[in-house]
Amino acid sequence: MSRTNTSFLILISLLLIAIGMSLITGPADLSLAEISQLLMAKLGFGASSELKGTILWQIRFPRMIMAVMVGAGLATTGAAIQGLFRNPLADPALIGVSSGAALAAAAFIVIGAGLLGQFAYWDLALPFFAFLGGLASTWLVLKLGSDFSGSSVSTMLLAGIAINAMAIAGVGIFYYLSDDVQLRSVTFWALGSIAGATWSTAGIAALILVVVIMLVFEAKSLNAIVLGDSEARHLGVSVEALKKRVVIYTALGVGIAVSLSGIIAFVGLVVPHLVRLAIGSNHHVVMPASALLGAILLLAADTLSRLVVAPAELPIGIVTALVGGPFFIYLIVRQKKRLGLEQ
Amino acid sequence: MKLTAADAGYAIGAAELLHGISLDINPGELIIAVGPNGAGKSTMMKLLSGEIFPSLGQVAIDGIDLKQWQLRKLARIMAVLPQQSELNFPFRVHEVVSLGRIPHATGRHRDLEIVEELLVKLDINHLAQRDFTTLSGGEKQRTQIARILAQIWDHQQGTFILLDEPTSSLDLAHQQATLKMIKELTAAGAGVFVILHDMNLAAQFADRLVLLHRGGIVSDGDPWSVLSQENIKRVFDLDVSIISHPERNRPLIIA
Repeated sequence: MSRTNTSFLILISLLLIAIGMSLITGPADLSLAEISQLLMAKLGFGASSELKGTILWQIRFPRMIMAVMVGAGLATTGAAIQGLFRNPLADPALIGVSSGAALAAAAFIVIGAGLLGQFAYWDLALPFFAFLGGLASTWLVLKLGSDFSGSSVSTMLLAGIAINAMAIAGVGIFYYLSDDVQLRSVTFWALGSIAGATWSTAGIAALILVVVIMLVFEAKSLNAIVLGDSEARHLGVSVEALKKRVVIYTALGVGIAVSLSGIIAFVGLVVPHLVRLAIGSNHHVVMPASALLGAILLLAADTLSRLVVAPAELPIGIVTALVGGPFFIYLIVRQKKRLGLEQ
Repeated sequence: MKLTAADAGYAIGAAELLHGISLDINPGELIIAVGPNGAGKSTMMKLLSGEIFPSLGQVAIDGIDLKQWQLRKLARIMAVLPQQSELNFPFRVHEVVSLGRIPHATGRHRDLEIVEELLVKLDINHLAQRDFTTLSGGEKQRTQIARILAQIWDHQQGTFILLDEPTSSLDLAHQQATLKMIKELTAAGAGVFVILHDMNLAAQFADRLVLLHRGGIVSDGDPWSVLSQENIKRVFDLDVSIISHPERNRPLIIA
């Protein structure tokens, strides 16, 4: 069996294990045997506990689906953005989508109820506004990064830095304006959490799968564009159209993820990097493998966030940043060493 | 099939980078462009490859303006190596070469055959499994040349190959080997346009030389007529002696 096939087999097995771990972990005891019993009962075979059924169906399942979708979405868009920027250390946050979503979310939490009346109590109102904020800031970055001759990734990068800084300052203003309760919910939102997943939010998160599939289909063009803009063009790839598609897919994927779960750091950066180290850089492999590994890592981080301070929970963004941060430093040091060798 | 520039010019705002470029690249012909830094050689190649479009005049293949060509169709008959190619991702060498097959749909099996053949031709077969980013400059250049050639390897007749300083990082032996290979491709019917810095290497292999200076073609013809003492004095402001290559009837410049 080829190395690639072996890797996919391992990833799929790990995903199944992570799903199992995620379903059995939590304040209420629920064993794998009980879960299979509940699954059978759902299909009409045998009886089962009502309470445990509710915990499994209404809490653990939506949460597991949310973790899988958000993890897969963040990792795949990360891989695509790294390819587009031709930089293995790029991150979806570079195009401004996360900070724009955060600003809109903060605005909604602090002043939304006053401005929107009844609409503010719709349970999808926060994700809806966060999503719009993410799209708006990405659109701005894309506009600023383009001129008559097309879009320049380095200008886009600079525009992204500026937009990110302004959006974060905007979030700061809402922190300043908020009362204690609002401050707590803005803070928690910004730290990232999938604890509140319901079937309606998990259903929306499942839309991320569409983005993941679209990005997997861009593998060939992404392989061309990492060689350079003009190189890709000479290989028959319409570079401008590709850039627009990838940025739009990323804005959609990350926009949905961030709007439902807050800002979850480092998954988009670290996962594609790990995949390239382990299986190589060909995007035909990198894209689907990143989706799988992203899902696995977010499930693991979510399970961990339920365990470390049980019965309370740590926001998942803290877990991914605590693990991702040191790993990122390791990558930088490694890259520095490699550059040192070349000189 | 003929790649033609007809009185093509290129300007960015008030800055005129190229003017009055007229040139035919015919099948079976190796044209080498030489000239000082900033003469417009790379810009000329961008015009010829359709990466930029002329602000004046026209560049066309078989009378059809490059603007009208579908990118994918063009990529099947024209392969282009820009001056510096950066690749920061740890692709393996054989994977990089196989990227040259992106415009085609010839199937995995045929693509693999072509890649293997070119790995041997470019003397990088021993590096096939290596991470591209860890290669030396010359090894990277040979890998990129192999990628370019993979793009047109199936039907060399009627294709165009444009290379911007393909030998800048190569040692003497690989310079010679690469140009000999390019020569074989022209013999098989490809039209080739190469930019070279080394005038002696250019004189040795070119069917036709094009000398550029300040955005225009100063001289265009066989190596003896282009590499005259007057032309070199005019373009490089340098006094040189020109002798005949002891074995080939080609000019040899001694600075």
